[in-house]
Amino acid sequence: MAEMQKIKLMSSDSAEITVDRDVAERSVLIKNMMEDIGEQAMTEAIPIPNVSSQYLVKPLQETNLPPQVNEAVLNKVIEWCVHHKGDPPATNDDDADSRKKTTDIEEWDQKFMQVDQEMLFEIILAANYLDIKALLDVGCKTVANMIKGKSPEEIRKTFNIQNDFTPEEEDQIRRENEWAEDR
Amino acid sequence: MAVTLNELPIEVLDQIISYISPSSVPTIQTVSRKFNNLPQPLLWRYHCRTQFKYWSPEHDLRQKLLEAVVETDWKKLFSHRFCIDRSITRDIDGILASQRNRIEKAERIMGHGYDAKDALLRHLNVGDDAEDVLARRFYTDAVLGGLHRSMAIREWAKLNDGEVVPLERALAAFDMFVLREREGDFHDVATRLDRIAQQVCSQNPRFMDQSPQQKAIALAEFLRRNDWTGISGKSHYHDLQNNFIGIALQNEPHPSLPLVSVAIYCCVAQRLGIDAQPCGFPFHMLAIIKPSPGRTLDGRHTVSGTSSEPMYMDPFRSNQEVYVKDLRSQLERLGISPSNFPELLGVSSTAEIVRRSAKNIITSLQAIRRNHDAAHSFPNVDGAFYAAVWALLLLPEGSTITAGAQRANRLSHITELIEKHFLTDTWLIEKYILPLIEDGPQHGQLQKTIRVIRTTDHMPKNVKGRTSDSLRNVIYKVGQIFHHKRYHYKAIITGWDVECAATDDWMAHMGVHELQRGKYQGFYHVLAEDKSVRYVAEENIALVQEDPGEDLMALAGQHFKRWDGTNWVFVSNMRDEYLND
Repeated sequence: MAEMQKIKLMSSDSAEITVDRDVAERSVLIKNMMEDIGEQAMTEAIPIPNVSSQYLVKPLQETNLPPQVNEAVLNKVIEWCVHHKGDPPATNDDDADSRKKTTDIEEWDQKFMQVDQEMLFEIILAANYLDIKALLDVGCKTVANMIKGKSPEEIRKTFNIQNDFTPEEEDQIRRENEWAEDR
Repeated sequence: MAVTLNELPIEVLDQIISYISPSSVPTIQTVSRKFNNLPQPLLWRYHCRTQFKYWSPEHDLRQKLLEAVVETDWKKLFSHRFCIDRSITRDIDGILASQRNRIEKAERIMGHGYDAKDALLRHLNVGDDAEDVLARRFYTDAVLGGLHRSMAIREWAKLNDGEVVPLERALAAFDMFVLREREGDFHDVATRLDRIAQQVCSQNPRFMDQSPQQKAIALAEFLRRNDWTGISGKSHYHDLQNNFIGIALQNEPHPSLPLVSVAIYCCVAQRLGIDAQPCGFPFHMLAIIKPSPGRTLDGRHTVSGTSSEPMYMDPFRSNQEVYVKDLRSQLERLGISPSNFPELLGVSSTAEIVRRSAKNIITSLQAIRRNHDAAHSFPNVDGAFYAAVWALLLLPEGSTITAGAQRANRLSHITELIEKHFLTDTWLIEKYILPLIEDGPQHGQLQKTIRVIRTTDHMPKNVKGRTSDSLRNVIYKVGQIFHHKRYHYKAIITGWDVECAATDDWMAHMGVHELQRGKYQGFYHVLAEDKSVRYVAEENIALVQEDPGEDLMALAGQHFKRWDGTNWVFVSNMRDEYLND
């Protein structure tokens, strides 16, 4: 068996991490990059994030600079990619909008996501940037499960969010959403 | 600086929120301005599509889904359906909680039309471990059935008012009477017919280039080759399901009676630009195909002023054209006067087809009864008969001498069926039948029956507690099952009296004085396996400790919450009547 190609990634804090090519290619961003620049990428470390990258699937908005993916986050993302390298590719189906999404998370992923909030959000940002759809899904589901069943005040407290409504606004929103209250 | 939830990019927050149950989304909106601006029309459209399958036609949901997402206030639509669902759950819970005002609550649910169906299906499919599983399934089934029936009856009433109702809809109305939770409603029937028409074209790309005559024959070939018409397989001609277009389209190998075969043929033909309509030939059903104006069936222009002849097909039996001279000689052999030929060889009205289908159902039911066909597994025989009676009442034949007597007969059938099995349909009688018989002699009687049903529904039950009297006299309890010592049927006790409370006539007729303990012993209201309601003396009751069996389980929900296998009793749902049982 031919030896797996290795590639090098560089985190925002300049740590070089070597990974198997098929692991790195769980990231659509890296996969596209590899297809384009090929051999050259094998020798030089690819900086993550790559601000000048023309391979971004989703254009960055001005307010959304590429996230700083530091060594700890990058290691975590790679850990996930290694575990999931054998997964079948995500199916691209048109009718996804008409089917109910599940919020179930498989056991290994649940454990994997048992990290502090900061790490969780950084993983999500990295997955979003690197275009690793399945990891982004798991991250979003994890946050959704943290939100579920909480009151607005509890959500604010949990996630350290400021209530920036005026009392009038708050009143109006409450009225608009009365239908969903338990009666 | 650490990232917080509030700072995640919008597209990520959108994705997170799509995993939150829709009724919790408003909670999240009240967290902060950023969150308030999140839920986009797409999110609410997604919830509308995934949370609800069935929609009342007035929403025109299919059209809305084709339009740009911003054309519809999806959040409003969602909250509308959400509130309906909640009110239905409240009413179902109310029906289960008290024997009072059940009919009224059922009517309120049915008033929501097809918007009610999703919530009802949820209650119908409640888990086996639910505390009131039998009652919940029983009453939800009754209300869902009423909802389906009301939709069917509306179509037939329209037909009687002279409105145009598509043939497939007029016939699928019979399916609605026996539908339960199966597929095969109006929409499913129409979609299946659409699909068959598409298959015809995709398997035969030049189909549409042919003349009407060639198309008519090619279509008959296609339908018969794929079993869409005729009876093949193990089905017998008189099997009840062969009368139902929805069942025929759904179940392999699609057996159907000639009437249904012809209807399928005509409905597909019409989708393919063929003017095909049913022709109610005596003892059979044919399709009559007419040329388009100014043309003949083989596609040529007609000589001006002449009309060209139609052709006949018999899709139940063959792929070939049936010649009109053969049909005429058949009519002659039947001894029919030639003056009646034009009518018998002409197009039958949709009302006529519905009437014939109703009569076919009654014939099938008679055949089943004659053959004591117990193995015959049509799930809803009462529903089939009930449908036929409704159809014949709503679409009466032209005034003949026997019409009055027939109507009286059908009215008594329907009244009996409603009192026995379909109490929640009372409003349908008021809305559709009372106006029909306004001047008739039965109007007063029917009105009185309805008044009694309604009054009983509103009245609280007489509470019967276990007093010293009843404790001494009444040994058995509501919910126990027994075998009748003399007649050996199995039944559930649903109520009791400390002594026989029937009329003297009844007692004389039943020979109560010949009982060992006479009339002064506990007497029990019971529900037997065959759905009959009986009144039994205590000395004839032999309690059994055994499994109640499928039939009793299906019936028990009317009075009981669930089966308690440890104590061998059904758990009462009539505590508002039998306080201590």
